[in-house]
Amino acid sequence: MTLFSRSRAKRADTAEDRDQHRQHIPLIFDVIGDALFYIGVEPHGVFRFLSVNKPFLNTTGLSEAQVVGKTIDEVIPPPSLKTVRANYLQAIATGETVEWEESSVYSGEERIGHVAVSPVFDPDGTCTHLVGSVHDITDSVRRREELQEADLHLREILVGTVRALSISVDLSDRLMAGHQNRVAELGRAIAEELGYPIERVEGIYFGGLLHDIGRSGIPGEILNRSGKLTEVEFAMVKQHPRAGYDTVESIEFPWPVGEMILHHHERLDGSGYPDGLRDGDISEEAMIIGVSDVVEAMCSHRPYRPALGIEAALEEITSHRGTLYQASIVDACVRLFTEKDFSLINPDDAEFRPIMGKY
Amino acid sequence: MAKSVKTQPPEWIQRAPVRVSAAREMLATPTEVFDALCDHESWPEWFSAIHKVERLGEQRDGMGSRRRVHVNRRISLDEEFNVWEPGKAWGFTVYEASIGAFRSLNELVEIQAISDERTRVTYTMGFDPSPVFDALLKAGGKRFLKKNLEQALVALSQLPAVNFK
Repeated sequence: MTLFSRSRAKRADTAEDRDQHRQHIPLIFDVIGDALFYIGVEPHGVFRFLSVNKPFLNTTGLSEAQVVGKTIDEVIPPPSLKTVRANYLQAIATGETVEWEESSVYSGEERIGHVAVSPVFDPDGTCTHLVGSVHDITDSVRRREELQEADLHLREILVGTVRALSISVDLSDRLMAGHQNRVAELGRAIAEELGYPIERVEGIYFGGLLHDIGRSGIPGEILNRSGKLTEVEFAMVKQHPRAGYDTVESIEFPWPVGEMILHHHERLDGSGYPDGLRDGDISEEAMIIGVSDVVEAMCSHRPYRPALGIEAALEEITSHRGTLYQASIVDACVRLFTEKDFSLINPDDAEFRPIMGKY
Repeated sequence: MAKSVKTQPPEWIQRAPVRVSAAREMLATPTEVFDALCDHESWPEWFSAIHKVERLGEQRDGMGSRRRVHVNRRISLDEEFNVWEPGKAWGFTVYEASIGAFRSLNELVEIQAISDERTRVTYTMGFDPSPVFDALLKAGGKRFLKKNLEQALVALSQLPAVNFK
């Protein structure tokens, strides 16, 4: 058995069939609107065009004399030739149709085609011919690229808007400046450590950037109070996840940002707020933001206490591993600080730091 | 030179090696759809792949009647009707062709009333293709045929005789 031979249980072409095909292929080809080609498979890996239809010539801008009787090396531009040859060989080896997208420059114009090639075998199981089609998808690919470009532009607008919202919260609450930025960075790192797909990591980052947006509705004298809050004042503070959720509810984020904001103070044992949810009802995104929020807050100065430091923060989440905080999230967070040299942006820096990175 | 094609019974289409099918709901009664199908000469008006249709023999309609379909000036198929149920189903088997693209070809149109005014039409082609035609069908030909069938059904639904309301 050679490269072009294989055991074939299926019916194959006879010599009479092949003689008929030589006459009939052009007739059938002209009925079908896609660009079609019929290739003879010769020894030593030579593929020769035996017949093509008018759409093929129109698509390539070549004349029949430039194609029929020529080998693929003489017709197909070099950048595509290697792929084409490999796919032809794959079709022969597998006996199956092989499809791929191909971009080639013919007559100075780039055309993109969806190519499909199927092998034809003789009774001995030797591949004698390939039949292929090229469906011109240049216009649809161009439209797809334009849509992707528009989508990217919209995404940039979204990112800019989220950052502006995050900055506005920082400006209204100077003592918390940079908090959301740092929570977002830590949340992103935890999500990456957990092996989340990039889209989910991205969502957690933006959830972190906005998780405290509801604080802007709380009077500054309460937020910045150095003494203990009254019960009523603390109740007001506990409303900030709901207020934040209400703020972003109408925005159609591609991630569950509203849910992350609403539930970032919920805890596994139901002791959190505002809804007292338990394990299973809280999304992993919200729990990641929650752990990041605790760690960042303990590492930062507050009007009512000095910064407690990363050791105390890690001790806090570790001691409540599996009771308040999800174990895998705690473990990922601890690994980041103890094994992977992760560090928060300087919490003493009151200036908002623009988020530079992959987003 | 005409090529003999092996005729097949109507039920063969269910086990044909290659099947292409399209369906469409039409604002018409089953009888109106069936009558449009039986008007062979008008087929080129709604089936763009067909150039001309002519009746063969003396029997104009019904089971066993025959017609020749010219796809273009050099490709023609001779068909014999083996399904003829007014308002329900219509189909044929090809017994001769000008090209050796297939060993057998049956076509079947099933007509199903959905309401007093709406009808679902399902058009199925069943082939036993030659190896080269089989390869062509796999390499895009099947997609082309399906698109062609879908377009034909759209055009059929827009015929004045069908789209009467």
